[in-house]
Amino acid sequence: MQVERFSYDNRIVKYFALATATWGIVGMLVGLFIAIELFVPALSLNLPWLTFGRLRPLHTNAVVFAFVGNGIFMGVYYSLQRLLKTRMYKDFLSYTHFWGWQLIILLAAITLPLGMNSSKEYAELEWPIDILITIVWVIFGVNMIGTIIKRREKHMYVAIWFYIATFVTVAVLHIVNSFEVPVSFFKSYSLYAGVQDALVQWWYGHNAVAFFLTTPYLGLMYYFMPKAAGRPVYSYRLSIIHFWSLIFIYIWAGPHHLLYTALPDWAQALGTAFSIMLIAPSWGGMLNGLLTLRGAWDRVRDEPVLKFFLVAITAYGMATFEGPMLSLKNLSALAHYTDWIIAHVHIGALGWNGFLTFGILYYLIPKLWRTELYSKKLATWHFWLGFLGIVFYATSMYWSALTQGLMWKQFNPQGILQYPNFLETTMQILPMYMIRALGGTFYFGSLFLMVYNLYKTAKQGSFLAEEAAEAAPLEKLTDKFTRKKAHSWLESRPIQFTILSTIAILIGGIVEFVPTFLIQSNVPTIASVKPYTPLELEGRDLYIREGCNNCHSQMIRPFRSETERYGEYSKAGEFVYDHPFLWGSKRTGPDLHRVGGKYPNSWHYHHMIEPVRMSPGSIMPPYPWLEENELDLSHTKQKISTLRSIGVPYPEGYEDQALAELEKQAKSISLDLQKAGVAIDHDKELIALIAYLQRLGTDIKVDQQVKK
Amino acid sequence: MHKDVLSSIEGITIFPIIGLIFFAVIFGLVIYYVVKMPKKKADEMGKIPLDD
Repeated sequence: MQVERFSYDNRIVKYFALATATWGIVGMLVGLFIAIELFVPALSLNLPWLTFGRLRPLHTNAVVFAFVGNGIFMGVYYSLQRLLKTRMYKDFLSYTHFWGWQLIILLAAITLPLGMNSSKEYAELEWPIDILITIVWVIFGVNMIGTIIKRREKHMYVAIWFYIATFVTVAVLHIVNSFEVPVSFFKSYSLYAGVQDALVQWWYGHNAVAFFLTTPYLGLMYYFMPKAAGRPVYSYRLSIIHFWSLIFIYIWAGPHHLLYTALPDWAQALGTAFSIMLIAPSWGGMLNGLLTLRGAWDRVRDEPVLKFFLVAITAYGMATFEGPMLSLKNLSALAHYTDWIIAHVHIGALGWNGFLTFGILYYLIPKLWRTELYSKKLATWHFWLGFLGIVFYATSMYWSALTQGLMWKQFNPQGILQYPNFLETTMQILPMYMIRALGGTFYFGSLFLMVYNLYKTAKQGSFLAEEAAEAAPLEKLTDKFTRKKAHSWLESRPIQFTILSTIAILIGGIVEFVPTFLIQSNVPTIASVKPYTPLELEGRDLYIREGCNNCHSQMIRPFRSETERYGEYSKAGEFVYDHPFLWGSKRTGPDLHRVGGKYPNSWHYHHMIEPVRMSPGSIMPPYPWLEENELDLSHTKQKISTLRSIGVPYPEGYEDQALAELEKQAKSISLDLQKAGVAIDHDKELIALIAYLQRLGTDIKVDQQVKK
Repeated sequence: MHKDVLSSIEGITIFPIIGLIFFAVIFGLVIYYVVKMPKKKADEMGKIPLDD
């Protein structure tokens, strides 16, 4: 048969490689900065955009979507062309995808420090950017599926199945979780409220980890590990089982993020059961990756690429064992809200994603520039320094988690909390925060060894933009579907394959979602729970703007250690008007759900302006601008009517009297503050925030008072 | 409290059961297929990335 000549597009791979390294440095720098802020709070320099609350979403978004995201595309654009013996479908789509993705990252880097965020973890970007993400993601998908269709290799290798599942699932997740109603160009409210919003968010959050940080990287592992080891994957059969069971099970496990919360029991149990089941495919995949090195283990000693891959896959195994363990209710009870979760995700991010990316970069750059790696010695130094960084990071965080988690739960023989002051437990773990930052410094510093090494490598070689290749065209598919050859039939039919994998993830999604949507009408309403007043609503939006939910939860679990410390445990019915929910996932500071009425207004005033004055030793940054900024009322009316349109029972026409009511409430607070010796105008932002904090969790207290 | 929320939905327990059955069936089919797969075929497939 006539052989066709064509060329691979290496330039797009180079672009994504550059972006991966660049955003990796940015994302990790921000991470290091906020890690240091936790023991040097003055580092925020009294500037809003340098506070932990605003920078933490920037760190997570930069690492997940910018560093790992570009890493995925780098690996996919390289491997897809070669596995399918064809150029990418359309160059135009490749480069639109590239620049579109960088634009999204740039917009995130601007809007998140400015406080424009939806508060939903790993989905903080506001609605116009959400739309842009959808468009760029579809461009990527069209380009990928188009490439698969015009391929010259009949069978789609296992890596490609993982790419397809990634594309399909991320699209579904992003769209379902991003249903939000715009108030203005920079502000929207989640369509869902309370328990329902939490379920959707953690179905998304969990599966973003699964289908953005895991499946595409497994695809990369299945391609680059055999390449680097120079031998085929250990078991192709195992990879088939790995793929189908992983994508089928993963989608179910989301509710394990909400154990002991106001989420229904059956959903919690389902999340736990599927999480435990996940160990099997995850470890099958890990072993498949590791055993690919069979007979080549000696090469690990002097091949940095294999060193990085080996640790990456081991970290994958560790994280996928730890995840199911953490989803057991008894361990979750201790670990949730502590640094354990931070340790867990960083085993994944630093070990699995980071090291796999570095390995791929060390493999690709010499290939693309047709030369040898400049210095294996330097790469080995990078490896050990990075590895040491992970060790310091993880051990300090586990230590910190156990210490603080146990202190929170410790009662003295009289049955009273041993450490009633939350801050005391924070002070105890500050040394661990310092060690964590040291680990982060090692890891971050080691990046520059890589950048220098790869730069010198490129310098000594010459870049091959168009790599010539040849292959016979694909024959018309004539094989009939038979039971015996079902999967091999499927592997040569991308459309059918895509549809089937979509069905696999949708089954889990639908079974979880039907009840989720039914729940709205099944959450028992509590008569005394009322919508927020206009001032409280504005205060709540400030709480979201400042990212308070990154350090403070609003979800008291039904444990005695929590009800003693914070008050009555949280009820599902209390959140029915919370668009979005603000339960949080980490307690760097105490829970705030019952903070309303706990302190006088003046306490809050002093605490926000200078936290250490009210809580000596506090690691919360000061928020002086809240006292200076005038509260922006230009969207208040719009906010009321938007919330009404999604089910919050503000009376018709209420928006017209909202401003007057807002002013009245603000004046009463500023008057109260004046009595306590604080002079502040009623039109400042801080007044609204205090109003919101004082309202938190008080609705059911009203109920109890009435009953008495 | 959790149970109150969901027990009011009719037939709610069927959902996790449906899920498990679906999974078990698909898992069984995949295992059956993989066990029946000829070794030669599996080796060929596994070599695809090395062949460029």
